[in-house]
Amino acid sequence: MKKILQSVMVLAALSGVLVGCGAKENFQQSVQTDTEKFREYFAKRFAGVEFADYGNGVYAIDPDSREQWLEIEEFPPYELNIDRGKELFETPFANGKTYGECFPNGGIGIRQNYPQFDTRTDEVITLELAINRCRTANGESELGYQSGDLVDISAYMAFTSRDKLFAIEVPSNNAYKAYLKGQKLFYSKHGQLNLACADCHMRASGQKLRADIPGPALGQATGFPVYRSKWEGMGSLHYRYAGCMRDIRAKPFALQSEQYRNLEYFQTIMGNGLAVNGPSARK
Amino acid sequence: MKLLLTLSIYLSSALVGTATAATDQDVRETIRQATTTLAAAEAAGFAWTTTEDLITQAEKALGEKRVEEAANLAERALKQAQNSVAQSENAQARWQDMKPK
Repeated sequence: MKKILQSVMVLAALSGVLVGCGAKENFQQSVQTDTEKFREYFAKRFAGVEFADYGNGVYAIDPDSREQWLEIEEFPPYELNIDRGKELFETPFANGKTYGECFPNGGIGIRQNYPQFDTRTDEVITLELAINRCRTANGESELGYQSGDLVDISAYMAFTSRDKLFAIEVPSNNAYKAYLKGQKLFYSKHGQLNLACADCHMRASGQKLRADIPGPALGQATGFPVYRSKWEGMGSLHYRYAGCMRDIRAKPFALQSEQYRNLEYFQTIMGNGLAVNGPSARK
Repeated sequence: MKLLLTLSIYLSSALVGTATAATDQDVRETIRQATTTLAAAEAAGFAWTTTEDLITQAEKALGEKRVEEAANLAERALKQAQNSVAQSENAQARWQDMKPK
């Protein structure tokens, strides 16, 4: 009787593992399908644009804007920020430790792995959040997420990762839930203007919206942080998200909120395989 | 007959006017409803930037005894807050419609 009971328990445990594997395969397949459909959409909309070029935002699809952008990139306006970021990155904390000690490979050439899902805390960790957590773990205060020192450090870390391909993983069912939340935010209409990210950056991408041409959503996250002419300085991706929400008269979420981290997670996964090209310049 | 018609129109207008004139208490109640509804929209992540401004303006107008103006602002705030809640419900039900097929 005991043996029968043991056998039943082993079988039950095995079936649990198998069901777990099945679930993982299912959500991996869903992410794969989403990614394919997302890319097909842009491939049809902008026939002739190479996949690798989508990291350049609107400059991939609008020749006039591209020409101006290439001129700007001859003397990149973000160069001083990279230098400042390097200096900050290499300056030890009061306890003698450095940023490099918080990251794999000393923090060099790792941008392509962010945002990542932390299966211990079940949350999306962006590079900027990881930088601040490194600070607090070493007894330093948090830096602001909009612009300034934190963004400069992020710019430097992105610069050391240029040309490496984004490879963001969805390692667990909870990671998939975070991905779905980000996807839902991307496709949901918000604000008094009743617009979703997808309205401007999919359906209207490439078309004139007043004086602007919204860039394609594919690859939008790869070049951040960016030097934006409108800001006359560097800013983070989440600062841009908040600006978009204000533009449609929606109350923005806090920078590095769960909502924006999940959105960044979804958007970056859609652009997996594109190269890190941050920091970059935008209008 | 013409006089009777004119009189009845005048009287009915006066009655409608009386029925819709808001009191301080009415406006306060509308502001309370707008604030509560906005909080629900915000909890769902769908608050609009314009609603809070309207509530603030309504409170200011009421404080300055501009009751009709306050009532109008409060009504607009409540309508916006209700629309933002409806937007969140619509998103919940239909966000996947936007995904590329």
